[in-house]
This record gives sequence, C-alpha cells and structure tokens, in this order.
Amino acid sequence: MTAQNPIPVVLATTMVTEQWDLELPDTVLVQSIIVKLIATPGMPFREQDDNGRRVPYRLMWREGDRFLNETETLAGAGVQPHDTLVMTRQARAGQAADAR
Amino acid sequence: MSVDETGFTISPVRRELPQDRPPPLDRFLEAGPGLRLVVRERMLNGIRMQAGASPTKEIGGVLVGRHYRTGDRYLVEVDDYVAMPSRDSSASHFEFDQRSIRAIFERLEKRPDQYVVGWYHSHTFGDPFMSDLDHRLHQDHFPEPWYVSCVASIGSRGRSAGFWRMRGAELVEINDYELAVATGGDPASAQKRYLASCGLREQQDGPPALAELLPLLGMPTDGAVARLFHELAEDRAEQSGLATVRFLVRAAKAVSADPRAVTDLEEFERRLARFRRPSDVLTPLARASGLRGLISIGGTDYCAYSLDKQRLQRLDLTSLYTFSVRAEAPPVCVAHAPDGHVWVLTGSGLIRFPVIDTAALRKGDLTFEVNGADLPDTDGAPEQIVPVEDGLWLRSASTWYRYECTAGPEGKIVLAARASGPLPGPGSVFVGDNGFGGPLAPPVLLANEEGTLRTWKAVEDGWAPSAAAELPRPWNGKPVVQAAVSGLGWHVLFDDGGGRELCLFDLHTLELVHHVVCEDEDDRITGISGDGSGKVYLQTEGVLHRG
Repeated sequence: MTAQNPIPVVLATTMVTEQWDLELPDTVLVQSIIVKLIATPGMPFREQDDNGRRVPYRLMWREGDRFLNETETLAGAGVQPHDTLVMTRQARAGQAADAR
Repeated sequence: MSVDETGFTISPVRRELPQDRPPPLDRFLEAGPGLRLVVRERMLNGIRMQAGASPTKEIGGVLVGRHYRTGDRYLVEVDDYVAMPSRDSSASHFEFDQRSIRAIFERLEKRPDQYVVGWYHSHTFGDPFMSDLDHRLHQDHFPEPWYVSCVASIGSRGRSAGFWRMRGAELVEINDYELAVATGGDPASAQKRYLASCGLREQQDGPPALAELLPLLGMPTDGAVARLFHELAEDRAEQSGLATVRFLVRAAKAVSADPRAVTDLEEFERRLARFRRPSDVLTPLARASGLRGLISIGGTDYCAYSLDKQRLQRLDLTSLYTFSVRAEAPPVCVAHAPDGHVWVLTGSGLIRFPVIDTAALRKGDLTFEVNGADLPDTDGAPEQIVPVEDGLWLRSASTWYRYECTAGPEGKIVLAARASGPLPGPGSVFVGDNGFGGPLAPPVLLANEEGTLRTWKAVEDGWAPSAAAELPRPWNGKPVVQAAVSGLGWHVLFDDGGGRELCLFDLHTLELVHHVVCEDEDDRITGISGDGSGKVYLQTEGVLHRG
C-alpha cells in the first residue's frame, strides 16, 4: 500500500468458491481497484477471455446489498472494515441466445 | 478526495476453506477411478419441481455439499441447492443475478462444513445436455475437477437430469450417480415423490381400465367379454391379486356359458397384438409449450403454429435456436418445400418464408424477406397445400389444383394454374412424398372412403388408384385428418371426435400394422409431418416427438 488509507475487506468470487483477506485503499476509485485485482498474480481474474474479449467485472458490496459504481471509492460508498466484496462477472447459461 | 490511479499494491491472503482440505476417500467410501457422485433425493426432486414450475423460462442456482479426495479420485456429495433468481432468463437462457449472491452466503453460513460444489440450471427443450454457453460458464466459474454441473430438462419425460464435470480441459458427462434417499422413507414413497417432482402420475393400470379400452380398440362394447369388463369397472375396489384370480374365474365361466365370447376374445387378442402405447412409438425430442395442430418439419427446421397466440414459431432442431413471427391471419396449413422454404396457407392468401440463416440467428441479426401470393379462385375454401420444387399442389374439400410458381413484381409469387380436377375420393388428404421420389415428386392422395383406406398416385391427367384395404373398427367410420409416409408405412391420424388417433398402415398393402391408443389427454397426437428425408415427426400437447 502507498499513501491511501487501507481498509481490510473480504473478497469472494462470483459463486463464492474462493475468498481472500486483503486491504484495499479506501480513496481509490473502484475501477482502479478492479484493474489492480485483475493484475494481481495468484488471483483467478482475467482481463480477456479465450476469444480475446474483455471480461467485465463488477464489485458487489454484500453489506450494502448493491454494486459499487466504478467512479466511487470504498470510503465514499461507506464500506466498513471487514465487509465482504464479491468480484462478479457474467454467468450466463442456456441452450442458445434468444432471437427476438 | 478520490484517486484514479493504480499505483498501489495489494497482498491478498487466500482464506483456507473446507474445500481446500477434503477428507481422504478411504476414510469413507472407496471410489473407482474418476469421480463418484452422490446426490440427495430431496435436492434433485427440488430442482425438478423448480424447473417444472417454470416451463417457459430456464431456472438455475448453485449446488451445495462437500467432497472427498484421494489423488485424482473424488467423491462428491450434493446435499442441497440454492435457487438463484434471475432478472434475465427465457426459454433458452438463464443469467445468474449477481445480486442474489447473498443467498449463497446465507446458506453457507448455516452449515460452515458445506460449500458450493457446482451449479444447476434447467432446459425447456429436449434431453439434458451442456451447450457451448453452459460449458463456458462451467469453465469460468467451476474449473476444479470435482465441481459438478446439473442440467434438469423439462423437455423430456420424467424431467431427466444429467451431470457434468471438467476432466483436464474436457467437459465430461458423469454417467452414473447415486441417489441418497432419506432414511425412514420406503421405496414406494420415494417413487411417489419422484413422480410428483417430475409432474407425472402413477400408472393406473388394472382391470377397470379394460372397459375403457374397448371402444378405443374397436371391440364390441355389448358382448359377453365387454359385459364382464364393465361389471369389473364398476367395482373399483377390486385391485388385489385375489380380485384378479376372481376375475379370471368369472371370465372363464362367461366364455363357457356363451360361445360368442370366444370369438370376442380372439378378436381382442388380435387387436391387442397391434396395440401400442404412445411411449412405445414416440421419442420425445423437444418441448414446444402451447403449440399444437399445424406443424411442418423440413430437415431440422421445425415449424409450428400457436393457435392461442397466433404466432408461427420455428425451431432449429440441431441448435435449438427459435424465433417466431406473428401471423396476419390464422393459418389453415403450414408446409415445407423441398428447398426449405415454409409455405403458410391462410384464409386470405399464401405466404412463403425463406430458409432460416442459423448463423445470423445466432448473432441476433436475422432479417428475412417474406413473399406472398394471392389466393387463386378455387371450388371451395383451400384446405391443404404441398409445395414441390417447381410449384404447388393445393386442394379444397372437393377439388385438387396444380400451380406453377414464378417470381412476380415486388417479391410477389405468381401462381399459374396447370391442372385441376375433382378429388377421386371424398375426404382425401394430400400426403407429401417425404423425400422418397425427390423434390419434384407429386404428393399422394389418401382417404377413408366408406370404410376402405385408399391411396391414389398422380398420373398425367389426374389420379390413379394405388392401393386399398378395408379399415377395421373403429376407424372405418372416421375421417382422415392428416397423414405422412415413412419407410415404416403410412402414419394416419383419424379424427375420433374427442381427439386424434394414430394408426400405422403397411406401405404397400395398407393393412393395419399397429395403432396407438392414447389413454391420457396429454398424449393425444395433434399434428404429424414428414421431414423430407423419410422420417416422421408427431406433436402431442406441447411436445414434439420422432415417430
């Protein structure tokens, strides 16, 4: 961590199959945190899928029961120490895409 | 103040979760090579019921349980499921609502020794399988070899469920799984619970049903045997083994007292030899909820008209992609041409839909041109069309017509009359060639003519008799509604007043091969079509079958 205030949180994957304890800066924009999480070695998040398409992630704040906006900070959102954030990505199943 | 920069570092510490240290297998149950799956009955029935309650939209969620591991051998126990609501689902897809992750946390906090061991979702068509989309979801979110995926399909009888997992980079089906039934429950109760979860009823076979079968089988309902069956039908309590013995004794006595009963029984035996249940001859392929009556198949393109919603729906039977269009006027007949075009006859005209570009449909940018044709002057309202490569056959209740089709201005199709004449038999229906004679082959005419089943082949100046056979009861007095031909013979739907009865007749002699008795309203066959390659498809209430 550099100058920002660190806040301890729990991070989970979309289906809650893995969890981490980590500290995140509370004055950095959520979009920068997502970029950092993708770039951190040892974490299962990827910038692109097998077809080279960007994988969009969003941070879900469990205690606040909402997604964090990319342009807000953890402090601005009101995230408290030891709250749980979920790094979510699309999970779409089905036989085919709908034709409308 | 906020900072938009990435000049910071994070040091995540992965939490050790129960799934990271699975107990070894040999402390519990030995597994063979690969993965052994144990599924709790309550869990699987719950998923089936959830799927059944949503026939037009896929549902999904996560599976909860635990696993054991020794080397590369696994035992996975699926104990429970967490249904996840979706704000984005349809008959062909389901998207996990990321807001509902809360439900997973809450479930895991109740039983900290359990964790997510996979996921499930439903399919509204066909048998369970993992689509490309499902495969990708599994790879992205459940990469470990012990994570399982369950697909429950309400498109197949019994709402069958399949399980898959990753083995290396490959997605493999788990061929066997064990069902853990709650202790204290007896097998009969478990079977009842299973049937209820599948939306099925217990089979109500037994002597009383025999009386109801008599008219369906074309047997006399006032003979000695019939009287015996009716007596039995009134006594619903007679279901035991002792009652069966009593019935046999009474039957033997009735036969000895009335020699005509022997004739009845011999006829009954002959009829029973040709009796088939729908499940004996129909293989369910896809669920097509709300669709009935007018169907047509061309290759893998399934086309059906929804009477209640006035929509023409097309389904690609290979990819299961669907789309529908609103019909301007209720169709009278739907038929595929050999080139894949779909022709629709309405009360006010003819419409021709093109072959569907499945690749464009997949991308969601399907556009197509529809051609129309004015209805020609006919003797009576047109009832049926059969498109062939170079034109169109059409019939009314009394007359047949042959047209040549050419392209007119502004995408219109111009019909030029080439031949016409009275139908050779009243109540004749066209039977499309179904690929046997090639794209130019004319249809055959088939009719029940005063108790004789007849076919006529097209000749230069009309129709020539081809084959004839006396129709047995009860179809000798019933009109033919639809028919199709396959390598097995002539599949003929008769209108029996309360529904439609299916019979198969020999291709050459027209002798009855078998007949399908539909005791259940849901099994009533409502539509039939050849696919242009010799195969025949049939539709019951909301389900498409291969014949």
